Amino acid sequence: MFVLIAKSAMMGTLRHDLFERCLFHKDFSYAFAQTQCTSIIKNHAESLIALDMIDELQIYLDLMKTVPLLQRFSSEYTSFLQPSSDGARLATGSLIPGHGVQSSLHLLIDDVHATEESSVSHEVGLRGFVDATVVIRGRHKQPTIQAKRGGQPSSHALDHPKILVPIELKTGHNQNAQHAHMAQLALYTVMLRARYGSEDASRMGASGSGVLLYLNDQAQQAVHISPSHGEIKSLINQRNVVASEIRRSVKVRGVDIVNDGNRSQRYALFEARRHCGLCFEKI
Amino acid sequence: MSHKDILRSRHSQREDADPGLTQDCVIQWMDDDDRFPDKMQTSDLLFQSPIPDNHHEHEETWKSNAHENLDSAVVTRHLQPLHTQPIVHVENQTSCLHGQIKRRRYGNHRPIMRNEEDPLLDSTRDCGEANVIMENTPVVDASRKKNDSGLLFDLPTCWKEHFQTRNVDTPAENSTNALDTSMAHDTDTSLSQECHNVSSPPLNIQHDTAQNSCRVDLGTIFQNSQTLSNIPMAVYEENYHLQRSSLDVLDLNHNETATTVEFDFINLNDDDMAAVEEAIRLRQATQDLNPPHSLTQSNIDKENIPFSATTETLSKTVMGKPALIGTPTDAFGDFPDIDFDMLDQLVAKRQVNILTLQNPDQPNIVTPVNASKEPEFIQFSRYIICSITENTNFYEKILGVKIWSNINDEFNDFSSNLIRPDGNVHLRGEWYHAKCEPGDVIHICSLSGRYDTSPTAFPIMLNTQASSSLDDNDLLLVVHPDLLVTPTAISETIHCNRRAVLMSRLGSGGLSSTFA
Repeated sequence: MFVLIAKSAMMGTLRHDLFERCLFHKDFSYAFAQTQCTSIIKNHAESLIALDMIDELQIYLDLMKTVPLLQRFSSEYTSFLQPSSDGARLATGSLIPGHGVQSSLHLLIDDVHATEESSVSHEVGLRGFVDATVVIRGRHKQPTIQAKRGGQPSSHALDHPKILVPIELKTGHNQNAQHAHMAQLALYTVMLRARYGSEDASRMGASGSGVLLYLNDQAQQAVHISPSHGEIKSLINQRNVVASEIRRSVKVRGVDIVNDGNRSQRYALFEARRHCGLCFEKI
Repeated sequence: MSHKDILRSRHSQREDADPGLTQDCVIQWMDDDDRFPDKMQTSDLLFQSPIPDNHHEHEETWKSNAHENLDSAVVTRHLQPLHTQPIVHVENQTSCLHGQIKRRRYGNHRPIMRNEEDPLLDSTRDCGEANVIMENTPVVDASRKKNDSGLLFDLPTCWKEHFQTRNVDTPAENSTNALDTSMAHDTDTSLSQECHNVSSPPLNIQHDTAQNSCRVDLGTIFQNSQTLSNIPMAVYEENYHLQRSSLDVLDLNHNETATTVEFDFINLNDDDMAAVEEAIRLRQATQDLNPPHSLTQSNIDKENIPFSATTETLSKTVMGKPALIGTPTDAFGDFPDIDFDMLDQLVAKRQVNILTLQNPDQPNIVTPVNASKEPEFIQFSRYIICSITENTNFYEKILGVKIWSNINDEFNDFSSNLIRPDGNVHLRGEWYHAKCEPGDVIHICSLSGRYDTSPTAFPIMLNTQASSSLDDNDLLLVVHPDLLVTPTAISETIHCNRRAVLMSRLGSGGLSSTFA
């Protein structure tokens, strides 16, 4: 897609693509990253030129700075890199802390289900692209909503064959988990559960939690997000609000003056004007 | 092409791409609904038709001028020849300020007779008060106003009392004098005469023996509007019972009339009354063999019916239908068809209205749980909203919903609040603020599939704060589910509510950026 955005955001997009390609091919080696970086830069050539980012070599070098972080990610959280000598870590994966009071997760990615998966859920009226959907084995205790509320994981958690976990990759500078990102990931979990079913003992299912991965050229941070029922309900409620407003805005107006009675119920502008100053929607 | 042009073209394209969500529905009412409007009038009283005499058609009119805001009711009974069935033509007469009168026909109804077996329907207990009525004293006292069930049966009762009194006193004129009823000769139901009756004294029973017509002013009975508000349901319910229970009685009645020459309903002789009493006795014996209450229990979901006396009776009425049909009520097989289906529909519709309006504050509603079920794929049911009521006691919004189908979108107007919903969905907590209107499509989803979202689960309770483990469900309400929203747009509303709409309308392709 032909996109014109800020330079930093452009670099984030490039890092995003690199991570997805490496993860999809399960190859985080330098050699593979070099070929992919060249390809990615070519794909975004128009945008880069439009942003006056014409120094291809510099972009290439900036992009390759991410590769050590990607390798660190693969060594900590995946099992398909070169076999590690640390057998214990392979068995349990690395711990991903939960945000706030949420539970943590031992993540060990066994397989990659898809990247940039186009997920459409007609049941709940959502559509979007999940950055990465990874498969973890059921031998890891997967804290789910029920397990968290019940105080202990379900007894057959060790027998789960496959569990799909969405990963949302954020490549911005800010490494702190933001509520908007968590909300987005929570909705991805809803979409995956609607598509693949909730995790079950007998078959592959989607987890009720996801991983929020912050990755830039300097550091990486992973946060485990497991939304509760109330949070999901609030988000779906917010989705209903957006849908109602979009539907109302689509109605043809201006042809005939009709008092629809709802004109006065527009949202007030956000109080912090600085957010509006940062808004991309300059119209 | 400038940016504005691009934006404008995109704008127009999105308007064209509106997937029919703003399509307006068109009201298309059938003629039958016209005959049975939602609000029943007092003119829906059905009376026992007298025995027909010759081929002359006579009319009997009961005039109601109960309240100035209410429509006057005129019940006209046409006496048919012997070989045809007597049919009561029920008409509604709407009088407006200009004195104009509209007439609206509700349809042909079968004559009825009172059921003296069922104590709830027993109207003879009001005989004494009926006498009071006939003596032209103030008609409605305080105790009778409170009595909703007995109120409406007084009319046929007093009429019958009137017959019996006349029967005892034999001459018709004498009886009317004894009853101190104002006499008037009206040979037709002209508008002027009706207008005259509007301003007539409270109790006004007018007889014309030559024409076999009787005119009763019901205004004295229904004096206050509060009583009148209770009338339509009880009237209909009662008449429904009476209609069903008196069919065999009428058979015997007509059998008797075949032997009676020049039978006049005013001049009921002893034989006729004996026949009627015999028929009633037979009817009671039949009902003893087939107690009606045992027939009323059926597959109605008791959980969905609030405990209301009126509703209970209504359900009995509806459910009693098949059994009564099964009984050989029509010995001659020549009764005109009564539109019982329409009656059933109307009764059921009103029952749902009671569900919605009278018992919105039913606090203990537990969504059925399939606890043993393993979490599976998402379960959802697609509904369309028929009505919305709010209950401030529990801070909840009650949606009357109906299973969605294509026909609903095309033909029904959900703003008219006349579509019968399949059940109710209670929205509590944050769901209370869901913006929905009648006609909107909603999904009720159970994310784990453990909870039942089908119509069998009604009433469905949605909440966001689990007060107990029973309430900790994963039921979701999705409004406009056909409008697919991206999680990115939803998450951005945390910062700015307008932004999601702006992005959807004008796009976020980056062309709006200053860098472009």
